[in-house]
Amino acid sequence: MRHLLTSVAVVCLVVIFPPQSAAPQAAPQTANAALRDLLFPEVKVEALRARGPGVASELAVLYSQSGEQERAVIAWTFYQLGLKSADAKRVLMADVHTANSDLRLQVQWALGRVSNDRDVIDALLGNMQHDDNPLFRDKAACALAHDQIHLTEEQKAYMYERLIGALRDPKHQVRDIAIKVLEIQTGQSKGYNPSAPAPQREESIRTWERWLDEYRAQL
Amino acid sequence: MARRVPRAALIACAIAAVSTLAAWPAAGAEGARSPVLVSYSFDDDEIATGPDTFRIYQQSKGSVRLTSALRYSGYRSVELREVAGDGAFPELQGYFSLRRSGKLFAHFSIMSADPAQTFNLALAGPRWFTLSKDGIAFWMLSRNGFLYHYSDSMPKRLVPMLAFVWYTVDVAYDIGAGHYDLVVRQEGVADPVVSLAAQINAPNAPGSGVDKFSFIGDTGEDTSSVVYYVDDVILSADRPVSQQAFVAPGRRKLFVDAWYDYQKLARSRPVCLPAIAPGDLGFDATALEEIEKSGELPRLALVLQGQARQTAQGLDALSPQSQLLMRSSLSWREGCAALEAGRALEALAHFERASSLAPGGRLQSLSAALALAALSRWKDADARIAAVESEMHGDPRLAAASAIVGVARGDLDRAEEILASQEAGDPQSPFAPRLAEQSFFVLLWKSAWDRAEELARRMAESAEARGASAALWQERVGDAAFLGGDAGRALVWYEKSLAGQPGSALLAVKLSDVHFKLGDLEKERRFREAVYGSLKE
Repeated sequence: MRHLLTSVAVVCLVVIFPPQSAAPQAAPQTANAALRDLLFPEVKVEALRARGPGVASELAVLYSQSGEQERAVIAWTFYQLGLKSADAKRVLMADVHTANSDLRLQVQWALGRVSNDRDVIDALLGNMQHDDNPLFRDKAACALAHDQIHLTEEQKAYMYERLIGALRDPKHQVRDIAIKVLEIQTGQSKGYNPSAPAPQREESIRTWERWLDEYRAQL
Repeated sequence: MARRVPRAALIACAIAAVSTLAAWPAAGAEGARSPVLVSYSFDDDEIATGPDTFRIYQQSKGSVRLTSALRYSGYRSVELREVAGDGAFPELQGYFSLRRSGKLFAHFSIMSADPAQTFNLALAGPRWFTLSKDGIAFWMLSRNGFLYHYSDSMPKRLVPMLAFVWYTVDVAYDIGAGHYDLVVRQEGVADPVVSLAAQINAPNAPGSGVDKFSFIGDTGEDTSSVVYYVDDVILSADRPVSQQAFVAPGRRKLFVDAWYDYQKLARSRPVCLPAIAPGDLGFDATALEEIEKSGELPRLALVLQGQARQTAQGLDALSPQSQLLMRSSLSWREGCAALEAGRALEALAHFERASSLAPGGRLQSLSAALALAALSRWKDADARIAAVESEMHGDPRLAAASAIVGVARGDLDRAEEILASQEAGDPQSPFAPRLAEQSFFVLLWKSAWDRAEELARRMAESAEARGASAALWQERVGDAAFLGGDAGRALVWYEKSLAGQPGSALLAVKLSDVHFKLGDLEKERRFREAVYGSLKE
């Protein structure tokens, strides 16, 4: 049943490999040397996990003191650990609009695995709909599809509402990735075709909205 | 084997399934036909895990174990104990033959020590535990003191759940219609506490097949500390079905035979050969420089590695020529994905488009040849290979593609001949091991065990001489020896290989087969359980 989370992830770029590990250069004086040893040059996920849930806050401190290349590695590590952490969320959110491609992708993927706050969903949906770079839009959608592991049913309903709203986006790519997220999350498309004429799309969107009403009524 | 069915559970299932169920022998006997696909009362002493029974996951602090302290019937049940925050999960995951039509009847009993804690159970198909057609068909969960089922992609509340009270669930799943009837009985209550008809299956997908079940705590949040109990799991079809007899504990086919069949299936189906350099797809130095400046190099790298599905959007900043090359590469990658998924016609269309966008891309043409082979258009495939022969002379991928076409059309002699002609080529070529591997499998499929073993032995020695790991080729020697009927020699080579790859699950199950053949059932069990887990009190 754990495959519920893992087996569909191959649709998007799977976060199997860490970004190129940064050389242990210019270590900040305050950084925990032992912690850095578990990150560079190779991330030792199980050893980090063995430090307990508090490791997420330790990593957040290190993240805030690191350069972009190292931050990408730490973001990847947050993803692998999947620990809910307000500190991790705070530092990752600061980079959720970075222009650094490697860092941006790692941050977008990691956010849903450290937090289920509404502003995380808003940030990812914002990137999915409004980022200038279609790659970032696409990968924000991937994150919404696969990596929101801490959401409650109420929070899922909120995400679905926003995604259903994105089905009306004027940009074809946004409509296309929004329905893909909904399909991965629910297994259904309800006949929505992002390329169909607007009236036909609207008919399907209304079906989605009725479904969402029922979803909320069940909560 | 735990296929003894307690009478009470059998009666309940029989009411839902067929009135004559008790008259059918349990599946598993040689040649027997029975509607019963799975039946576990967990009362037997020896419950063999395996690919045709079930698998136990308990990697961290959680556990899955037999217990006689609490049970619905007989004298034992299974206890699943989840520990929040331990980074892992306990799971009982079971397997049965795929059902794509008719009805499937599921019967089981569950009891939770704390219904506020989450547990999940599901019936799913070949797409595993995803919300999609052929993924999860039936999904039940407990949360915040209530029992829910997941219908039409949403959790629907069923009934408050009491601690330490057994609930018996009967599901009659109409696979074609994609809906099910659900009855839940509470211990000590005369009438069902839930009785629902024609419930839409989890992903609202008619025709969603099923071949596995799962009992687990939470589904990844790692927040549940549930302890719950499962008893009397019975799955049956609406008509007697044939199932292969068990040939060894937990399996209807030996692991080595299943591996051999899988290899034959996978390697007989043409798939793309890897792009090694951008030049394979037609990129020259000028185009690469421009792409690097535009920041598109990471995307091209992902395309070459085949790691991502990419879109053509955002290429407007490139020159027209570079745009064509990028679009051709993306089309080639789409074609590779389609070919891998068995959609050869779609793949061919992508490759043709890729070739027309970048006429200098040799891999696009070679891939088109492979798609044509997948469509059994042999002459066209040969012609396409001939067309790139001069450009790719000496490139081992050309020989590999020729051999793949030969294997696909069942011409193993021709494939062997092509591959043998390459063996004298450059042994330092990065493609040499791949060619040797193809030769090895062609020899296996020709039942030329001795020659396959000899080739593998040479490759192992060559690897050792270079100071590289010989483990894979030592395993291949063992494979050929085992398939050739010499389990003793297979054991020697598998053990050598194990030293070089101690964590290999595949090797562990092959060793389980070897020990089974040699009559050492203790070691058979040890290696099998290293992969499939064990269910003990």
